[in-house]
Amino acid sequence: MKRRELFPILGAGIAWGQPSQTPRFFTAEQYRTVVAVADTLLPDDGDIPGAVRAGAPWFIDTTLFYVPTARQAWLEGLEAVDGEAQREYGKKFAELSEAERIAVMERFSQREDQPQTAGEHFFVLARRQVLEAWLLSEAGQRQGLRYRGNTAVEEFPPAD
Amino acid sequence: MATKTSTFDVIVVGSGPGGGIAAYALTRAGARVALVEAGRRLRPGIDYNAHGNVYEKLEARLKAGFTHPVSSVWRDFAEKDHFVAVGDNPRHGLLRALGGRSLCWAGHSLRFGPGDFRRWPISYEEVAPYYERAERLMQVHGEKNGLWNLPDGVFEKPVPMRLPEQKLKLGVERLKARGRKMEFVPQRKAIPTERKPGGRTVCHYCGNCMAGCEVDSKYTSANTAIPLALKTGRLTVFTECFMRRIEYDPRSNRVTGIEYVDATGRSSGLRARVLVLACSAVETARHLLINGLANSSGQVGRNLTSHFGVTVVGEFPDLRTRDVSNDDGTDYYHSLLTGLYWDSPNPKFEGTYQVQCGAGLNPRRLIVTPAGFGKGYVKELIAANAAHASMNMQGSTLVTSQVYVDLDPVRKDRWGLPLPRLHLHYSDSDLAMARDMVATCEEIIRVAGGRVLQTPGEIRDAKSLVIDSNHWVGTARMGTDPRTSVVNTSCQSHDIPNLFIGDASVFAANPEKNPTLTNIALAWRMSDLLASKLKKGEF
Ligand SMILES: Cc1cc2nc3c(=O)[nH]c(=O)nc-3n(C[C@H](O)[C@H](O)[C@H](O)COP(=O)(O)OP(=O)(O)OC[C@H]3O[C@@H](n4cnc5c(N)ncnc54)[C@H](O)[C@@H]3O)c2cc1C
Ligand code: SF4
Repeated sequence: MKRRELFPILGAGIAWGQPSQTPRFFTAEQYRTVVAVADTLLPDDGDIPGAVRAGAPWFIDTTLFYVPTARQAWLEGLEAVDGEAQREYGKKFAELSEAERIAVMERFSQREDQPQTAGEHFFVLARRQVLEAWLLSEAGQRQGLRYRGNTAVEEFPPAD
Repeated sequence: MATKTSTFDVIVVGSGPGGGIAAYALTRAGARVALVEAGRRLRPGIDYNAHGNVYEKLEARLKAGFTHPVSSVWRDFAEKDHFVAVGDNPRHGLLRALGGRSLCWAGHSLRFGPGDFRRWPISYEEVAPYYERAERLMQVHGEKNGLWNLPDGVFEKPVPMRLPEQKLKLGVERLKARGRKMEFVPQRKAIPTERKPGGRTVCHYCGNCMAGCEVDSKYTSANTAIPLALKTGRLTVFTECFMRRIEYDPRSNRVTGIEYVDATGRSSGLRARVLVLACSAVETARHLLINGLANSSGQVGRNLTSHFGVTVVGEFPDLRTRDVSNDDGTDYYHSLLTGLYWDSPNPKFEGTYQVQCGAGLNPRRLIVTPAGFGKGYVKELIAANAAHASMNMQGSTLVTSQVYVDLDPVRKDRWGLPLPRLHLHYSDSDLAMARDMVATCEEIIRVAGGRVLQTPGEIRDAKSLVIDSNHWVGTARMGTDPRTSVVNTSCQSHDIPNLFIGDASVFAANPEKNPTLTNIALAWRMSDLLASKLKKGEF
């Protein structure tokens, strides 16, 4: 495991088992938005590590690098997020304050049961994939869920 | 064309639960058996292993061409584009591997009861000894509940219900006190919970059963039946060998062997005194139809039925703060709602249903995704999942002339054989049953003090129903009349005396219970009857 400063604006990021934090599918610019989105959706919360500390942006970038299915949806979604940030605040999403980022996501999450706009569709996709990445991460499982399973042992006589 | 030929007493085609047990019982009875399996051997822990740090394995998995981050024998290796669907979205599961779908089954093992066998040409008492043998070999855990139509078996100690499932039980108790007929019992699964000499390893509750049990605790034919059959020295296993044709001699009216294609594409022949087909209900019917055999009744592919259902999820608010850190258990379902309409049928529909119930928080299987995001989201996620119980209903689809398997006139598989075509059209009875399922489950949740979190609501049409793609049965049904059935009570073709069927095609009727334990018991019984015929020099 390697530790290094990722984007100072978001605090420390943990790079998970990967040689470097350089994105392979996203451009550096897009990746900055991905990290900001992940951090807005699942921020650090007390003892519970958030999506960025869990390594979700790396997980998503790596998956998209190999599996094309969701590529288009991510790229369109990032455009929608940055577009909204630009319209409302004249900045990129990653440059917004925490409160501003939350406000953008709140608008996109209004109709999560029946998303209509590009931004709303993106909210559903991003939350699902960020959450999945978090749930599968060591940090999410151990510190977040305080989950003790997920280990193959030869025998485990259950306690009576 | 066949290039080389070997001779056996029996060829068994298909190594799933049915074919695996046939190979086991026949070799132990002294027969020399060839087990022919289209798939390869998938190694636990190597070809499938859902344990461990997903991040560390991600790159290698994706590089190898898998698209899902977590290893699963079912998701990674199940066949695709292997059938044609007609009607109400039929689906059909197939895993070509040594062990077939026993590699990914959940292990739920329920005996059919005397009431269920009323619609069969054999009785519960005739099958009971084979249930007992099967349960011992498979190491089924469960609780003795004394229910007349879900008979008790030989069980290892049961796995406890999780707290939300105990709430559902409370709901059922309350409804029973008001005179309703239903029962709520712990699940029964082919997963050891007790150390036994010569037994498989005891389950460690990782909840990965359907992704494949990498420590070989859960019963599969690849980890128990086939290795034991190999020990007899009388079994030869042909993996990656697809049976393309059944050899039939019209003069003697006997099948004489098969032609198969191996991994290199070369075809060869095998000869035997007897052929047992255990390719699964859909595939066995397909091969009989392709070869034009054993179908004087016209019933091959007919009488097709599976289970269908819907899911209702409830939440018990007082359980939101419970500790969920380690209750994955043996896969998901630890409990079962049963005993509905056994004694007095519901006039609105035919047959009945059961409901598999589960709970718990497993990071690889999230049931409740709360709305929203941001600070507090994870806490809500944990609370909502800690408090949830899910009810997955399973009723048998009505047998009608609208539900069957035939051959697609155009589309072919990679061996040049016509694909099977599955026709599914739900009947009004099915829809009425689904409505009753939803109402009953919602009622149980409410009576137990919970609230309904997810429900299909009012069932208007077949769109809200989900077919179980893995429980198809009935396509070569058993009967005493050769005009209306395909095999006799020994699972022997009425038409061709040395052709037997070792899978769930032979089911004469399909109760609400999961099929595989009965499939195994019947294949075992068939093998005993067949072995005694072989000893007498028949065939
Ligand atoms: C995820 C999942 C969960 C399940 N859970 C349960 C459960 O809890 N309880 C339960 O009762 N059932 C369960 N089932 C269903 C159960 O797995 C099937 O009922 C059972 O495997 C059927 O056994 P079978 O021997 O008929 O067929 P299969 O297991 O499908 O095996 C058939 C084998 O035949 C081979 N074959 C087919 N055609 C040919 C050919 N031409 N040449 C050579 N080989 C061939 C196939 O490759 C395959 O390996 C589950 C299934 C799945 C997928
Ligand atoms: S829960 Fe038990 S039987 Fe299922 S995969 Fe894990 S160890 Fe195997």
